[in-house]
This record gives sequence, C-alpha cells and structure tokens, in this order.
Amino acid sequence: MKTYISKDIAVIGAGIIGCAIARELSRFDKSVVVIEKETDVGWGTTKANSGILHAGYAGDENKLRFKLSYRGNALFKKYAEELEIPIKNIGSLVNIFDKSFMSTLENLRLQGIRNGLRKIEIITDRDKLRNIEPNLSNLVEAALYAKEACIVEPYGAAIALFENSKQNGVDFIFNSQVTSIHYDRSSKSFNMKTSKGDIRARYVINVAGVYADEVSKMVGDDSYNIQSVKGQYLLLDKVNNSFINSINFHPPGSKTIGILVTPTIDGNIIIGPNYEDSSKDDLSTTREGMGEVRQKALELFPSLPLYTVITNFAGLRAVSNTGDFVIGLSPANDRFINVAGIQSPGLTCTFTISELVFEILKDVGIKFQKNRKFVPVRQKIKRINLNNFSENNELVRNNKLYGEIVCRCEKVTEAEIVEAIKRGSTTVDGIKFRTRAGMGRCQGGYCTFKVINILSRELNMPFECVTKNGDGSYFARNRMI
Amino acid sequence: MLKERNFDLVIVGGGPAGMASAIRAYELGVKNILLVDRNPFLGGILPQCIHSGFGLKIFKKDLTGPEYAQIFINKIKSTNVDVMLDTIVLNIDRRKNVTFSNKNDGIKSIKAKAIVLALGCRERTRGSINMPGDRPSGVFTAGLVQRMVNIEGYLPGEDVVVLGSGDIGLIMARRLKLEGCNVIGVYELMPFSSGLNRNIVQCLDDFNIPLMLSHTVTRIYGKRRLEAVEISKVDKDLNIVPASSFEVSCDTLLLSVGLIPENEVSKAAGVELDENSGGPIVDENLESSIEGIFVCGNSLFVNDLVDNVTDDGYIAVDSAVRFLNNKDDYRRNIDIIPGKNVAYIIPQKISGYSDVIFRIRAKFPAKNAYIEIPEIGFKRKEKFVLPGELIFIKVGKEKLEGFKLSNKKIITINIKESERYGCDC
Repeated sequence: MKTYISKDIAVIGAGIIGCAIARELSRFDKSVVVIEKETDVGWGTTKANSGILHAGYAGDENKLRFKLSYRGNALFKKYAEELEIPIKNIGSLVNIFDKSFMSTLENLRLQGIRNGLRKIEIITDRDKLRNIEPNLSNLVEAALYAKEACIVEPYGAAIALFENSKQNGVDFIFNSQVTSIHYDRSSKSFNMKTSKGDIRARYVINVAGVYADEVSKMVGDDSYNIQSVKGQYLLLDKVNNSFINSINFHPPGSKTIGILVTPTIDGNIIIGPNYEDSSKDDLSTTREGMGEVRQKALELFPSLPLYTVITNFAGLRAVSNTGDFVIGLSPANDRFINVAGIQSPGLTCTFTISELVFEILKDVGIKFQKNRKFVPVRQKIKRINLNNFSENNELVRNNKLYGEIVCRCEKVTEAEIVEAIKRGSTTVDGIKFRTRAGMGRCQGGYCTFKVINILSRELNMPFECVTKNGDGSYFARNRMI
Repeated sequence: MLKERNFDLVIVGGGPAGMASAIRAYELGVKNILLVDRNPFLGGILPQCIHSGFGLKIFKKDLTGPEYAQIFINKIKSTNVDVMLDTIVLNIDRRKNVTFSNKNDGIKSIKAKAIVLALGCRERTRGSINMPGDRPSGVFTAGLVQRMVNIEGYLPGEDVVVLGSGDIGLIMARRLKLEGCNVIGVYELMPFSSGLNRNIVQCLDDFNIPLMLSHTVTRIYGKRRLEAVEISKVDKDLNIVPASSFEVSCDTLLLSVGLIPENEVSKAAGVELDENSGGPIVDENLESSIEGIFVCGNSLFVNDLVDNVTDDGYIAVDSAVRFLNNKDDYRRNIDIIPGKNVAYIIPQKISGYSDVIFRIRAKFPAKNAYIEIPEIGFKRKEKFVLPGELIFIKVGKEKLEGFKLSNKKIITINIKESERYGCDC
C-alpha cells in the first residue's frame, strides 16, 4: 500500500492525554497526526471516568503520578478557561468511619501541605461536616477536606482539545488501528500500518491507553506491561442535585479505595468505580460489581436515592506493572515515546503530562519553532439559554433550530446537534458526548430516532447506516419497503 | 408566532387525553383555549399504534390508533382551539405561567387561568432496571422500536427477544413477527403478565410466540451490536435461581419493563406526586394539589385503554370549567388509601360531596375476589382481578353522605379473596 500520509510526529491514541499532547504540539511548527482506532475522541478510559481533579495531596512523593498531580490541578483550571472545558471547583472529602484512620488523614494533609496546598484541613466537628455535606452518614468520624478538588467533564475536555488541535493544524485519523510499526534506520522514520493505510512519521508518541504495551511491543519494547482494571459506575438522575455538594471518598488503604460519591458537572450523581482486573476489551457491568458500588456508596450516604439510577457503565484503568506512569523514551528506540499506564490521577495530570512530553521531545533534539497562527482559545457549542429568554431568542432569530428541542430530558436543541456534526460527530454516541442528547433520564427513548434522522440528513447517509458508535453498531437493519 | 398572551385554558399534550380535553372545553364554551404539543402532529403516541383494539368502549368499534386519533383531530379542526405544534413546554409555575419553546417564538411565557396536564408517559430503560452486561446497540425500549418500524419504516434486527410482557411488548412481538423477524420469546420477571389478557391471546398465542413467566434477562453480550442475552429463572421473591441461566443468541432486545408517568413539568409547578401511581395526587375532579391545574391521561397514571384516557380528559375539563366559573369550593379532605392487594387508586383525595369514580390498580392477580371499601360498607365480587386491567368503581355521593360527617377522614380500598369461595383449590 502506498504511504498516504507523512508527518513529523504521530500520536497513537485520541484519549484526553493524546489530545492534550497534540494540542501542546500544535503551538509549534511540526506536523502532527493523531491515529485513533475508535470513531471519535475520548472513547477509551476518558469517557468512563470519575471526572475528578484531585487536589494533589495523595501518595508517594517519588512516584511520577503523584508528583505531577498537584500542579496538574492548577494547570487544568487554567486550560479549562482557555478552552471552555466544563469544570467546577467543589472540594473533596476523604471520610473515615474509624478514628484509627486519623493518622492516615494527617499524613495526607501533611503531604498536601508539602506539595503546596493551602486549603486543606481535617474536620472532626460533626456540625461543620454536616454543613458541607448534610446527607453524609452519621457514622463518619472525620474527614480530610481539600477545597481545590474539582469535577470536570473528561470527554468534554478531550473534545475541546481535539477541536482546538484540529483548528491549529493537527490531523486526526479515526477508525484506524495501528497493526504494525517498522522503524527504518536509514530514513530515521517509522512506517505504521493501520487499518486505513500506511502512515509515516519521524517520531511516535504512544498514548494507546490499555493497549499501550501492545503498541510498544511493535517496536520491540517490552519494558512494561499494562493490566486493564475495570471500574463499574452507576449514574443517578438529576432530580437529586441538592443532595450532595462535594466529592466524597472512602478512606485510602481500605479495599474499597476509589469508590466515590460525587455530583457530576451536569448535576447528576455518580457512584463508583470498583476495582477488578479485566481483559482489555471488557466493558461489561455485572450484578456483583454494581452491588459492591451501591453498598459502598450507601455507607457514605445512607439515604442515597438509588431508585433514580438511570444508567450503568464500566471503564478501564490502564495500570502498568511499574506501579507508576510510564512516560519517557522507549528503551528500544529513542524516537519512540511512551506515555503509558496513565491510571489515577491521570485526568488531573493531563497538562503536566503534555508539558513533560514536550520537554522530552525537546531533549531528543527536535527544534521547535512557534506556530504563528496558533489560536489558544476554543468555544464550546452554544447551548439553549433557559435563564435568559431574550438572549436565547436572539439565538433563535439567527438560527431557528435553537427553538427546536430534540432531547427533552437535557433540553438539547437541533441547532446544537447540527453544530456537533459540523465539529466532527458522525455517530449517535458522538452527538451524545458533545451535546448530552440522550444522556438524561429517558436514555434516548425520545430523541434517538430524531438524532438518527438529523445525522442521516446532515451527513447525507441512509437512516440504516447511522450507528451508535461506529462499525457494526447499527440501529436499523434494513428499510421495510 | 403566538400573539395572544393570556388563555382561559392551556392544555399541555395533544395525545388522546389532551385532544378530548380541548374538544370538551370548546363544547362547554371556554373562549381562549390553547393546545400545545411537542410533536409536529396531534395524537400523541396513537399514530404509531397501528394495531387495532382502540375505541371498543367509546365508539363500540375496533379501531386502529391512527383511526381513533383522527376522529378527534377532525373534531379539533372544526373548532377555534389554538393548536401549537412542534412546541415543548419547559416550565409551569404556581401562578400558571406556561413557558415553552419552538422555532417561531423561541422561549416564551403565557398566562393561563386553568391548565390541563396531559403529558403522557415514558418507558423505563435498561439503566433504570439495573441490567448488567455490555452496552451494544440493539437494546431498545419497545416504544422506540414501534416508532422506528411504524413511522420511520425500518426494522431493528432479525432475532428478537422481548423482555417484559407489558402491552407494548406484546404488540411489538407480534408486529415484528409479522414483518418476518424471528421473535424468540417474551420473558417476564413476574409470575404473571402485566398486559391485557386479550393481547396475550392475540399477540402471542395466535403467533406461537412463547411467554416465559418468572424469567428475566440477567446479562447483555455484544461489543458493537447485541450478540446474545443471558436469561435466568427467578423465584417467587424475584431472586435469580442458581444455575438456571441460559444464553439466547439475538441481535435485538426489546424492553417493555414498565411506563413512568411524565411529570417533569408538574414537579416544576410544585404539584404533589403519589409514589404509588407515579402521577400527581388528584381529587375526584382530577384537580391536582394546585388549584386550577388538572391532570389526565398517562401522566396521571398509566392506563391500559385509550377509551379511559379520553373519558378522563372530559372529566378534567368539566372540572376545569367549574373552576373557571368559580362553582366549586369543597374541601377535599378524605384520603383514599390503597389497602390489601391494591397498588394505587385514583383519586387519592375526595370531598365526599360528589359522585366518585375510583380507578383501582391491583398488585397481584386474584381469582374469585371481591373489592371492599369497609368505611362505606361497599363490596363487589370480581371473578378475576388482574394487574393489567384497571378496576372501576363508581360510588354515588349519597353513599358518602354519612361518611363526610364523621371525624375519620380515611377510606381504604381492599381486594380480597372471596370468603364464600374460599381458596381456589
């Protein structure tokens, strides 16, 4: 097959980290391509994620994943503003049920202060705790309160980074899985075979999530392994949006580490994830897993309205056998950079990782010149404005489709869906993650066929060719007549 | 563009309940009537219900959904009722300001003197029943598939499993069989069907589609499109029977696992809801806890027959007209309590000053049963009681005469096995 694309740098994987790296590189003059096996951005670990920006108090100072997290929090806030990434600073509580865990909380607090955190305290006064979180279990003895913790929309962040990178000249190739990589010593470049043809690049950045170790092996690098670790979640309806105010964790060290109860950026409540080794393509939920999540959530919030659950899903953590992020030049090839094992708190570290990768590329000897046309800002899709009628009706006057509500649960208009398609959505799930159409309590029961019809019209493809999330995931088998 | 800003009566929802309301209001001489619907057509869910069985009670005819709807659409066309289509009502407040959005007006508020909520219902989803497994395409609510097949003209797949024996599930099992799909079976969690008996006979038995009671789907398999489901037996407490699971290959799963009255707008207005029925708490006039806001159709409770929905539309408007004429100021302070084997009762509150129709939903099937209202000495025999078939009891106001003077303001309704017939052995 003929090489059909040739770039300076190829990024394998369009998750949030891959997109952040692409966006960082788009500030400069090098040509960049991002190769993604899925139909859209952020469909791996990014989309089924707790959506938490940790304050940056946790863990071992010697581990990269903890070193990067404190500044990661601050950087994320800065970029969120530039790129209109949905973010909310609501603070987090690590709740303990047993006073014997006090020393654990104190160690975390001290670690936080060493990292530079100021707004961090241990609350033992029940009234004060009740003030922050009125529905928290009475059995909670104390909590570590870190005000810097935020909730974000992780897939929203990936989409923002994708759009801004694209605007600044990065190429994205979707539905394209890398099947082999050959390094050619004479031309000092990589030839990658993908399901969509060959791609040549002088440098490769491997951000392939749970599959990163398999991609590394393609260049003879077996220095690490990735175990995928599944986490199951339940999402509750929005009716409870006054129920909970902050991110609530179980104490670390107990086997339930990780199961949290938090509001989402859109006003739902999310509970999960549990922790179970799994195969790399296993995104199934189980009765047992959901039961564990429910039970642990109820320990924190005994009156949690679990009857309002609207959906369940699972995500995969990419956990490396080194116990840390694997970021750096591959021992097998000094033009191949691994960005692997990005487990918790990976989301928090998004922009410290992308900075670090840029530093590595400079160290390798790439001479970067500024991209003069770089545009740092990106605007999110303009939403219907339910609070200001006259402002909203200005939108409707310019574009009638702003008056047509397609998703009644989340109040998404046809104008927003058409705009999402213009920005790259080609599937019903793609529309969902960009606009929230189908994410509400009826889970698309009302709007799915409307969205299919809009996709079919805008992309000029038959109804039965519209898919949920790419090849094979069709809705309609055939037309009846 | 809507010019008028004030209406005597605003009806939200243009399905059978809303259409009946609009026609009755016109006939009773209400001046300014506005009927709003989010669809581009009137009829609500009826246009996609192309099967027959509609109108047997009211018209003594066996009509299809579109035929039944058309009778009312034609009547509305002959009135001066303002019909606003493609319009979604976003909010209603206590003072009866109605906020809506459409392509012509954008977001706009109007003021109503009285409101009829005829909002319909929505389907329960996979998520709301906590069904585990993968998340492929091919898992649909039955109503969505009904829309896809009957309106859009597309078949969802080839090998179909139906979970839940509610009426839509039964109707769609037959519909897909008629279109050449392989309908493998209908699986029902409960030991009885929640659908109408006639639908079990006409949709399943007549088409050799098996109905498996006390079975449910316990896992979904499939990466992109559904590949198989795991089905398990459940015991009488609905717990999964160990080692009873088996896999069924299929590319389509239809969920008919219950309907939920739509009440987002009612809730926003501050209308009190009944946990049991899922709809607003109403009195014998179908008036909600907010004066001048009336409720009918599936947003009040999930009906089994459209004829009943139409009747309730009339009742709601008769009451709304009395309200507009300030003729009625009784206090509704008698509480109606679901007793033995009763899931819910409409109305939940009455005054005792007028005749009442109790609409009673049984929890479990019962044979040789009787309905009992001990407080007023009422008793009626019922050979069969089924959760899928609503029980109506009309109680004249004279029966309530003595009761309204007593201090005890509670009426209980029970469904009991007959004393005379004893057990059904």
